[in-house]
Amino acid sequence: MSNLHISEGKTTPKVIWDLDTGVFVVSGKSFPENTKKFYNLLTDWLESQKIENSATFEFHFYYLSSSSIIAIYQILKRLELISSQGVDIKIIWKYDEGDDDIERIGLDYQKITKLKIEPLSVPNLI
Amino acid sequence: MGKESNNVLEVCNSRYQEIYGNYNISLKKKIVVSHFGEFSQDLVNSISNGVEEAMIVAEDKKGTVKRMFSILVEGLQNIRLHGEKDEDGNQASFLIIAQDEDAYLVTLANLVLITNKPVIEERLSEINSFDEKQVKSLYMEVLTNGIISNKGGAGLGFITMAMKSKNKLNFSIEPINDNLACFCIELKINRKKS
Repeated sequence: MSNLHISEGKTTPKVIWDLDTGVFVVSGKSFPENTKKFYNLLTDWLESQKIENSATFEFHFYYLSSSSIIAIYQILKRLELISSQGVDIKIIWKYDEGDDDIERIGLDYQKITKLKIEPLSVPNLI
Repeated sequence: MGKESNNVLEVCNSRYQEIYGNYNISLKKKIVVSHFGEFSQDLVNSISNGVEEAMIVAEDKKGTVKRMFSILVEGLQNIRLHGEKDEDGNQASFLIIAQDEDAYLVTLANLVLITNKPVIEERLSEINSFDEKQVKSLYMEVLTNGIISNKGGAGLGFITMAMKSKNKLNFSIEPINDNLACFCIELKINRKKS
C-alpha cells in the first residue's frame, strides 16, 4: 500500500507516486467528472504516508480543468505543510513548449504557495 | 404531468431550432457540431476530442484549439453537474458550434431553476463588467479559497470560460414554467490562422 500507481484514464492523468524509487509524477489530461473523488486518492495518500528527508514532485499536464486546478492547489497546500515539517519538497512544473496556459497555472501556484516550484518547458512530442 | 414536461422539452427545442437557424441563415457560417438532448460523459469526451481534431484539420492555432477544448469541457461538465431535469427526468440541454472565417460561436444551454435566475445573472454580469485583469484577480481569489463541492464543481467554470473566450459572455435565461427556465450562454472564440 505504500505506493500509488494510477494508469491514465480518458479524463484522468497518470499517477506514479513511489516511495521505493522516489519518483513522484502526475502527467496527462485532467478533467475528471468527479474531481473530488479522483484527487481524494492523492490527498489521502499524502496523509497516510510519511515522506522522509526530501522529495521532488513532478507535474506535467496537457490539459487541466478548472476544478482540477483547485484540486492540485489542495495537493500543493498539503505538500507545503509537509515541507514546513522539515521535509525538503521541490516541485517541477513541466509544460509543453509554447503552452502558455499550463505555464501560467504553474506561475500562479508559485505566487500563492510557499513551495519551491520550478517551471520547466519541455519539447512538444505530439 | 406528461404534457407539462413535453412542454419544457418543446420550449427548449424551439430555442435550439431558433439559434441553429440564426447561425445557419448566414451563408458564411458553418455548423461544426450540434446536439440536443442529454450529454453523457462519453459524449462530452467524444465531442471535445472530435472538435479538437476538426480544428487542427482547419489549421486553427494550437492556442485557439486548446481554448475551445477548455470551453467545451467546462461548459459541458457544467451542464452535466448543474442542468436541471424536466418532469420526465430528461436533462434537456443543447450545444451548437458555428464557425466562420473570423470566429467560433459556441452556444451551450440547459434547464435551471427559476429561483437561481438572479444568482446566475449576477455572476455573469459581474464577470462581463470586469476587464481582463479583474477577471484574473477574481479567478485567483476563487482558486485560493477554492472548495470542490460533492458534485465536483468548484466555482471557476464561468470565470475560466470567460478567460478562454476573451470576449463578453452573451447569455439569456428564459422562463418556461413556474419552476424552470432555459439558460443559454454564447461564447465567441476569435480565430487567428497560424
